[in-house]
Formats: sequence, C-alpha cells, structure tokens
Amino acid sequence: MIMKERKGREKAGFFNIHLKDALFLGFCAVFILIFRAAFRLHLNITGHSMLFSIFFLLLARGCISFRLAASLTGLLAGCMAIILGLGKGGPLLLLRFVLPGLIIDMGAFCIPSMFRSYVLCALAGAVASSSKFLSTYIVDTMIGMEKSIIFQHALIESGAAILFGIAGSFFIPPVIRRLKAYGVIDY
Amino acid sequence: MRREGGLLCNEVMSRYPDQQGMNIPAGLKLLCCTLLSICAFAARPVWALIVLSLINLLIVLAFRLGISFFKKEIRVFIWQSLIIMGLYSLRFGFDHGLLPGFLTSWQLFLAFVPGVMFIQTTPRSQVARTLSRIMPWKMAFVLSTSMQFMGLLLEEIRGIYEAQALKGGRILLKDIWKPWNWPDLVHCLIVPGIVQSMAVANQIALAAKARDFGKNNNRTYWPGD
Repeated sequence: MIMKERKGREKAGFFNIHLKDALFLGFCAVFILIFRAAFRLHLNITGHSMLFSIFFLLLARGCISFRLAASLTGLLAGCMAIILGLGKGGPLLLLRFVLPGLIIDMGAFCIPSMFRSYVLCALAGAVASSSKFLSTYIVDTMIGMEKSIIFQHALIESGAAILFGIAGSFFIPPVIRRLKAYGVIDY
Repeated sequence: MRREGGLLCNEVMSRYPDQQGMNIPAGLKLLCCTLLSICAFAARPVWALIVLSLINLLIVLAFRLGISFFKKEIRVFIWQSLIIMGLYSLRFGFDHGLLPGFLTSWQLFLAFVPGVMFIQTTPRSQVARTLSRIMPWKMAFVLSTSMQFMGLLLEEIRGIYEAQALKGGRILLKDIWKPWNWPDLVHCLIVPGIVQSMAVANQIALAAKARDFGKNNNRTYWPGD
C-alpha cells in the first residue's frame, strides 16, 4: 500500500516521468554540451555538433520509455546551453535542441522499433538534423534577410548537419541492442 | 584521458561566471537582455544599429567583461560577416551586396550579444533560480543537479576508459579516428558509460527521495549557491 502510494507520488508532475529517468535525460543533455564544447576546441566544421546531439537524443528516447524523452533532453540541453553560454543563439538556442528532439519523439511514436534498424535511425537522424534548416531560416527571416539568401544560408548550415546527424545515428542500433541484452532496457 | 577529461570539464566549467561589476537581479538582467535582442531584430536603419551597439558597449564596460570577451565576440562577428557578405555578394554582386550583407551580419550579432553578456555576468545558481520561476521546479532541479554531477560522471567514465584501455580495448585517441575500431568504442566505453550514468541517476534519485524530495515545492537552496 505504502509502496503503491510512493510510486504514485513519485510519478506525479513533471510530465509524469520518474526522477531517475529525468536525471538520466539530464545527463544525456550534459553529454551533448560537453562534446559540443570539447570539439569546438579542435574542430571548426559547420554542423559537427549534430553528431553528438542526434546520438544522445536518440539514445535518450531509446533508453527511456517516455514519449517526450528526446524533446525533454533537448529542452534541458537548450537550457543548459543558455546557462553555460554555449553557442551564439541566446534564447533561440532552445529551438536548435528541442526541434530535433520533437522529430525523434514523433518518429519513435510512429515506429517504436526504429532503434533496432540502421536505416530508420539514419532516416530519423537526417530528418532531425534538417531541423537546423528551420531554426536558421526563422532567425534569418526575423533579421529581414533576402529570401534567396536565407535559403542558401540555411542550406549550407543544415547540409553538413544532416551528414553528421546520420553518422551519429549509426551508433544507436548496436548500443540499444547491447543495453537490451544486458537487461538495462526492459521495454 | 585524464588530460582530456580535465580539458572537457575546464572548457565547460570556465563558462561558469563569477559575479562581477554591478549586482543586478538575474531576472531583471534577463529581461533587459531579451529586450535588447528584440530591439536588434527590429532595428533596420543604421542609426538604430549604432545606438544599440553603443548601449551594448556601455553594458560591456559597466560589467568589466574584459579584452578576452571582445576578442572572442569580434572573431565570431568576422566569421559570420564573411559568410553573410559572401552570400549577398553572390546574389546582388560585389558592389550592391557587400553593405547590406554587413548590416545584416551586424544586426544578427547585436541580437545574440545580449544573451552572451547575460551568461557572462550571472552566477549559475542565480540563473537556475531564475529559470525555476519560468519552468517546473522539478525540471529546474534536474537541470542544476545534472550540471552539478557532470564532473563526477566524467570521473566515472574516465575510470572505465582507463580500465578498458589497460585491458587492450582499441579506444585510445589515436585508435578512435579509425572506423574499424568503433565497435570497440561502443562495447568498451559507450555502453558501460551509459550503464554507469543510469546507476548514478538512480543513486541521486534515491538520495533525493530519502530526503523527502518533492514534499515542498519551494526550494531554498540551489547547487552552486
């Protein structure tokens, strides 16, 4: 009875997610930022941060059976990026992290078994990375840039991001398979 | 890995600012910075951009952000200007595209700089406290706790890395660049790292619940205070 009550209390609020699961998503968000920061030291290639963002967003959704896991990870990563001053988007940084998360969540909602397939993961990674096009387009439109230039600018920004996003998603199927084999993921 | 782990932590931790300059509430600072960003998005004429630049410059001087801040932001501005001016020149020709491209880049820069200044002048705990007013308090807790335990998590993963490298896993920095070593990276480092992260998350959640976490919605202490 007490256990039942505790479980009920634990699940209440915060999108109905367990605290330990929420903390794991928080760690995924931390890893996204750590790798972003670390690789900015050595590389200066457009879109390379998508490699880690897509990997950890897919991992978050693949490990936690919560429908908005990737979006929540993106939201946490966006907030942390704002707090730590990573990136140059200000409050618009949230958009850059949440949009890919939302796309991954939608993909997982439509095809729950997508984390086992390389092709589906790559597809989800590519579509999620392409959200960089939208975020760049929105920012440039708000600035009042010429339409054809907005398109080219967003295309340059998102093209490389898609390639890196696909590369990041290729790590997901073996990782999820192994975690399932170890019994870490049980759904 | 010890050096790399330290480097990662330093790179992220170095962004934790010390309170400097004037002591203004974080909420007010966030409001002012957001207003400045909105003004930059709306500013079209050159005089408006000059006025906004002067305001930003005054804030930078008032908060004594230093030469390194200028250097870093100017580098970002130059890089961004080159891309945008190049695109404008391709579209409208060199003569007609250069100035509009430069003005757009200037506007974009002014839209982002207030956010950077806010971060540079506000302690992490204050930002978390401010965010807790606009987001669910549990989420603010998860946010600040994950950031607080970032160092511990990196230490744990460093331990795993060293143990696996001693066992002969091809996960050294010189091996990671070769794609045929990536299965080793997955099996020896990524999977154990994820399992360890889950274990740490479970321990923190247990400790928080043992202290009746969730009974009182109004937090009085934030990590970093």
